[in-house]
Amino acid sequence: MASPEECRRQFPDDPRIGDEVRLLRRIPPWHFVRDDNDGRFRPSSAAFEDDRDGDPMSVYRRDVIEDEGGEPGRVLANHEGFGLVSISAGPVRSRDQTVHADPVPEEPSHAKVCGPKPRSTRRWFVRHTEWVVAPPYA
Amino acid sequence: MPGLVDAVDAGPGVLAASSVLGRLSAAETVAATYALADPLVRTTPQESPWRPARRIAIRAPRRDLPEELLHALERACELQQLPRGWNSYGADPVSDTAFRQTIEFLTAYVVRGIAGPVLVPTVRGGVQLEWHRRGVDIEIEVGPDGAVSWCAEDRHSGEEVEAGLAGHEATVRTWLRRASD
Repeated sequence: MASPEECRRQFPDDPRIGDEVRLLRRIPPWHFVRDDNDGRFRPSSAAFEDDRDGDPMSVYRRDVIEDEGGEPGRVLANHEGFGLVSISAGPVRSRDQTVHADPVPEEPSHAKVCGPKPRSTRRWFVRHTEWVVAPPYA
Repeated sequence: MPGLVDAVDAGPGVLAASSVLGRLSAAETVAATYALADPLVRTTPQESPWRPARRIAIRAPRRDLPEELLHALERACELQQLPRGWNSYGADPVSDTAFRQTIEFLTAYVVRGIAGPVLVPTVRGGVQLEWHRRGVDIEIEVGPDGAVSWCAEDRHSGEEVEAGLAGHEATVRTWLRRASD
């Protein structure tokens, strides 16, 4: 788990990414969870972990996609059955996370969300994300 | 007595048995396998191209195996067959240790009268069991090394608890009943 200090050093927050920018996260069908308390399907908190090798959680910037004339759903290409959620960068920063631009050749909107993600933070992500592409039965 | 579990890699004979059992409903499978042998045998629903089929042998009287438990066991078998990278971000497959510990937990805690959990895989090869009902949220996390931790929250009272499993078994059962009553 990356400490805030390590994140600020290795994946510094990018002030050019405004607090209002929507960050997109792919949700595998294995992480769709029925929540009878809310009466809906939602992502599991397990969907908001850093990568298995410790690399920070990947997201995609909706502003970059739309500036290119694209649709958010393009990050689901070749990921049949996956869902897509979004959350604003500002609230993410409030949880001791950095939002670091990390464009890759296949997806210029790629970014990293770096910071400790204990169970309480993962559950916070669940409560503050919204479906962009929901499961068909949600 | 629920809780005594054996999970082994399947051989050719088990695969053959699986193809037969696959044509039966869950209840018929239980009846058929219990009639054939003790212990009861549950097999993965289909052979995976990525990982070997598994069978789970549970030494327990059939009357002690509620449908909620059987559904959860089937889900555990499905998760155990996921390939590396199942989440598109390089996730590990569910470890054998986590799989076995998950089965142990299910057979010990999901007894008659307890609601069935949702099972999801975790990025580092563990399994998370979740209940979200009756105003209660419970998450049991089985790590890739088999370590079990849990948290629970009552949305009405605001009560929250987060701990390891050891020494808190009775408390976990109490929370599971609150989510099931």
